[in-house]
Amino acid sequence: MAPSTLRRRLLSEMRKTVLAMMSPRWDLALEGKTRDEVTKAARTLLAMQRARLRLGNAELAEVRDQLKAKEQDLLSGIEALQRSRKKLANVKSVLAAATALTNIVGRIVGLVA
Amino acid sequence: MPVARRACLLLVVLVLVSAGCSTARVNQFKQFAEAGIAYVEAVDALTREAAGASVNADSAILARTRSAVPQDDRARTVLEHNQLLKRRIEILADLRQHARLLGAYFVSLAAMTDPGAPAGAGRAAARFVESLGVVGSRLRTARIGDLAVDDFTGTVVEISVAGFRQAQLERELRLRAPILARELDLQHAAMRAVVEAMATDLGVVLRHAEQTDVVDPFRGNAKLPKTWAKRRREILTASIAVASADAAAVAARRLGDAFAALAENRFGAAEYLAVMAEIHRTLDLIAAIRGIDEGG
Repeated sequence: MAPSTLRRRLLSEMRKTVLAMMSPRWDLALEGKTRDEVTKAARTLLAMQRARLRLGNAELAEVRDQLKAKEQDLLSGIEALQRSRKKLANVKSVLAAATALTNIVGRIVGLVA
Repeated sequence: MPVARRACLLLVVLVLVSAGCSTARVNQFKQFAEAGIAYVEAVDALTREAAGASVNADSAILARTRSAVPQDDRARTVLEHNQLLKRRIEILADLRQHARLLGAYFVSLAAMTDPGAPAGAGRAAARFVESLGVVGSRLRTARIGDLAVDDFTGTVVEISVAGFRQAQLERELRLRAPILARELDLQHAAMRAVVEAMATDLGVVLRHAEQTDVVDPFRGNAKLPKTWAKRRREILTASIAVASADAAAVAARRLGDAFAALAENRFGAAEYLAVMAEIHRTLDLIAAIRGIDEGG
């Protein structure tokens, strides 16, 4: 099993456990238990929460790093689009494309006249 | 009908068809960019709420377990949790910052589809053509059927601008398609990780609130607080809203699907609405989370 898959499965189980141990039903279930048992349950919940935070941080950081690695590509895309927009606003660059069609109009007018 | 007249009509038809195709295609880019901008705005709000929810959940757990931690160990415990939470908040801020960069890309893409700028460019181009004398006086005063050539030239230039704009967008799509597809895949992975953690955090907060605000007062002998019933309703209603926590991850996946459709020239209302529906679900969730915070 890939480490990331194992981590996801572990996280999934930890989340379910933390939710169960924070429920009013769990609180009810602890009633009548010895002080040691109640303390042990609380410490288990704390340890589970810390592990959940650590594993969750690792999962998020991994995706964050992959996204960061692609930022230069995204910046290049933004710059390319800005260049294109400037070209679009630049009459001379538009003219080159427009001339071909205008010439056709000129030829047709020549035929009509 | 004379050959010249038929040629004129054919040209007019070709020009109109070309303009229609170009406009429809540019609209696909425009709608995709709009969906992308809306997604990024939702991600910004969601990652902020996720950070808040992680702290609230941890506080609830610490409060619940405090009596079980020896007094001389409490400071170390809370500081260790603070450190882990600061790390979480930093990572979420990084994701938000990256999303802003993605947002800047979508804004640039949307600007390329803005009909205002090209229209102005088209008019300017028409004036430029005239000033250079490219269109001579004979051509300006001539007519094609009922159309004055002078007007028609302006239209042709406008359509050329539209064609140029579409060509630039297609070029960008061709160049950046693998990068953007990968980016949207990673967005999906990031949002999945964020919302799964957040759903648990919200669940923890709500369970704690249910215990302290609903169950404990009801079990005790003291008079119930006046707000007890209202608070109970808020908690139970919010629990249902948390079931929508996956919306941002689904929105990211739908945006990826929309991009694939754009690349294959089949992006339409269905793809646009699919993304926007999930974004609205995300915004509803954010409103529900804020409701939990305000009620608590």
